[in-house]
Amino acid sequence: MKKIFYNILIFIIFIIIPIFSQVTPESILKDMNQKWSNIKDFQMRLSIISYSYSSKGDAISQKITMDMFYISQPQIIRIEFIEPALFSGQIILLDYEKKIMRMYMPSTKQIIESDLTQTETYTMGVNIPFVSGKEEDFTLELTEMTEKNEKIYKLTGKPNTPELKTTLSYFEFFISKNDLKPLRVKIYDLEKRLYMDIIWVELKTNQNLSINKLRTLPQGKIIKQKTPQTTTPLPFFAPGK
Amino acid sequence: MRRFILILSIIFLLNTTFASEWGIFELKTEVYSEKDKTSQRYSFLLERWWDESLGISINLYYEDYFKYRLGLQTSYLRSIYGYFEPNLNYYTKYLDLKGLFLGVYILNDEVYFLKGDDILSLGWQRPFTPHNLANFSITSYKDNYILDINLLQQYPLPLGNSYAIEEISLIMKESKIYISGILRGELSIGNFSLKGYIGTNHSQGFNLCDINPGELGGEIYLRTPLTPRLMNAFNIGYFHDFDNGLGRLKLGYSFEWLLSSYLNIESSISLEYLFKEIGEYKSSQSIQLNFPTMDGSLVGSIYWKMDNSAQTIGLKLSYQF
Repeated sequence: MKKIFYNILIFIIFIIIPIFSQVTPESILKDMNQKWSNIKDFQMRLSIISYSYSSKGDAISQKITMDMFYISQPQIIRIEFIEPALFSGQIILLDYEKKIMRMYMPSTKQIIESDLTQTETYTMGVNIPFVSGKEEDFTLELTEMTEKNEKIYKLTGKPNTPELKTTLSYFEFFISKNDLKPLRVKIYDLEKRLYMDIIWVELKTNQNLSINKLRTLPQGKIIKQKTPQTTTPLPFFAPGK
Repeated sequence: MRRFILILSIIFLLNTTFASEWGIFELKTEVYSEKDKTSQRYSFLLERWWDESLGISINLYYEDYFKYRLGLQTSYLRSIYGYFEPNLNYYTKYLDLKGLFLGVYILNDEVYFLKGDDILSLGWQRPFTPHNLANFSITSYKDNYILDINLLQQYPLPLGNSYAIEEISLIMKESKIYISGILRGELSIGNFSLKGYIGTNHSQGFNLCDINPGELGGEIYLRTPLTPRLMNAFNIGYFHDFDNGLGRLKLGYSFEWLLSSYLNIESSISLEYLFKEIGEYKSSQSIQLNFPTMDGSLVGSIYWKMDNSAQTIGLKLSYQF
């Protein structure tokens, strides 16, 4: 009897516990990064909804939707804005091979070109997207859930550093368990109200995207901007106080 | 001329890879019809850029007679030869001439020379900072002498662009100096654009810009999106001539409708009204159907334009590569 008990204990310690301990928030993020750093290309439709609140607490939302195309070799990123109407038709092209950035402006039908001063290339990882701060700056908690018959990992992150503690209370990162695709990121402000909601509407990988097609912009006069963009042209921002 | 063609040929042959290579090829024909005359016009344009400082442009066209414009840009000089609008400053904006423009780069400055039928100009352009540029020129035009000072401030925005320009033009005639000045600005972000100008044109000035000699006035242009696929724009301007007390009002409306990835429509209507005892007006309308393909890099267009005295119907095919 004692032997059986010991055998069960050994089985639990060496077999069951390692299986459970394998899936941690850190290991999920590590696996995702490994998977996404190896892809050849992807295209995705992304919606970013940011919220601000009136003194009465009423939420005012603003939605930005864009298509994003990425090729790893040569590294090219193309962003096409869909909504709001103000940015609809605006295209941003980051060409790391030619070290140029081109922005098509529908209002003036101009293509503003500037040098890409960043020498490093864009790292295509998904390490807590849209949240400023590194993985180790947060205490991460893992929950598993099912939504519309899809198994989902939900990572909840609370900031550890004093700087991050003054900008957000926590975030929730939803990941498809099946293929480790990011599904949604929700960021909450200091009063634990939803500040930003990022939704991956569509995400396709390894579609053999054409380099020439990504580099092709609508007709427009090319205006060379002598000074490179000092700020990132993407509307990605960290929550305010 | 032979040397010019030889230089162009050499540049064509030296087709190495540069960072910002691009080009445009455009073919256009239109039928222009006014009361006593109807004629067909043709235009061919080829522009090829290997870098921002290396490019050529060839424009051949036929309007009553054969015209041409040849352009060359290198790191050391830029040159335009033939029929062109030099657009040196605001007050000679609509000046059209046959001649030669030659600009030489010395460090960041450009010293330029323009020679045409009635015009001779010498100027100098300097970027004081990456966002501030100044342009000074002395021009003789039909026995008038003009000193022009033009200051530009450009402010790049994360998703757009903005600039402001101040310009002063001094006309020297019979030991007198006549001053004109203008302030212009533009702010563009995505589908939104706001442009405007306000200024004067002295009565001794030229009728080569939007402000007639003797007038003080300005115009504002606003483009906003109605939906992600429908953009519209308004412009309104008022100009007053203090010598004869007459006012002039300009109104305009235009829209751009992206019906599908393969068809979009651009249309505009404008009206200019001169306040007199019996008011005079000028109007113009246009509509253009564009058929883009290849992600908008190849566009075929059909257009129609009409003003008080003439109508034009045209076809255009342009390819940006």
